Amino acid sequence: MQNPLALPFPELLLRAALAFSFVYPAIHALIDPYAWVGYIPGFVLGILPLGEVTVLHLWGAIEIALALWVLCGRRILIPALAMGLALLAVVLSNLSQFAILFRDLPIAAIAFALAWMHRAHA
Amino acid sequence: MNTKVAWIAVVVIVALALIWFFSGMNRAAAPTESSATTDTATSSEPVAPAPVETDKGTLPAATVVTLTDAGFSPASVTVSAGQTVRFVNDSSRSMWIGADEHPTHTEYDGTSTREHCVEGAAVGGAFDQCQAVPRGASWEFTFTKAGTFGFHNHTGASSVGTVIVR
Repeated sequence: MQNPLALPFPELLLRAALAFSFVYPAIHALIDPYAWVGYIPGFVLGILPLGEVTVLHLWGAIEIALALWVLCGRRILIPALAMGLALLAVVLSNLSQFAILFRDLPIAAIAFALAWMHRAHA
Repeated sequence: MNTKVAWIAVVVIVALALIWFFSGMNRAAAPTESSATTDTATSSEPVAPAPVETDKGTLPAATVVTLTDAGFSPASVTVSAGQTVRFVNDSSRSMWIGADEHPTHTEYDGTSTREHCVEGAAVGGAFDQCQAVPRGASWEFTFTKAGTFGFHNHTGASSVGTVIVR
């Protein structure tokens, strides 16, 4: 467990930015799930025998876990990589919505930068 | 940068974000409170809507757009003003037709989903189904003004299409 307050401020900002981008949709999905369910890749719903809103909330729980890990964890290579790949998957599976989702690419870059910074912990 | 100043900045930013978030949450929650006893799209998995009786004899023949797992077919249709388009869900996921942009559906009449969706139905002529329906269900919308209107499946936003109204 890493005390985020002990982190260098630039790294804290990177971690907090990435964590916030995952926590916000997870929480907002509890209020308005259909604002977010449309971004779930179709193949995911094909694999899981669950309703789309249920899948959304399960993913929300994973998002919060990843966010906490990347905010407070010492070895964040794995969550940072997972978050970057998840963002890329969302963009690539919804290219028709690129005008909305283009900001996910720089957030993915933040995730990959953090993963690169912690690559020695692999 | 002084660490104390940096932390004060972080606290202020987080506080402002929380204030903004919770003020928005109250606005978003309002419609569902008034429809707590109904099957609204925001509170549960989609259910088929109750059938609505209409006098089909007075309506022009509807143009049919089918939603499949591969997207809308046809992806673009041209109709005359006053003509109805019927959207049929033949996909494996639910269907909620809405005007672009996702997820606010503002491009048809300038109002957002939060404004024009009341208890699972659009008010004021907005091009928005306002609820998710399962496979086999359909929804009709009559276009009353000319223009080119993009639409998408709100519950599967990679599926998009266009209606051209002359």
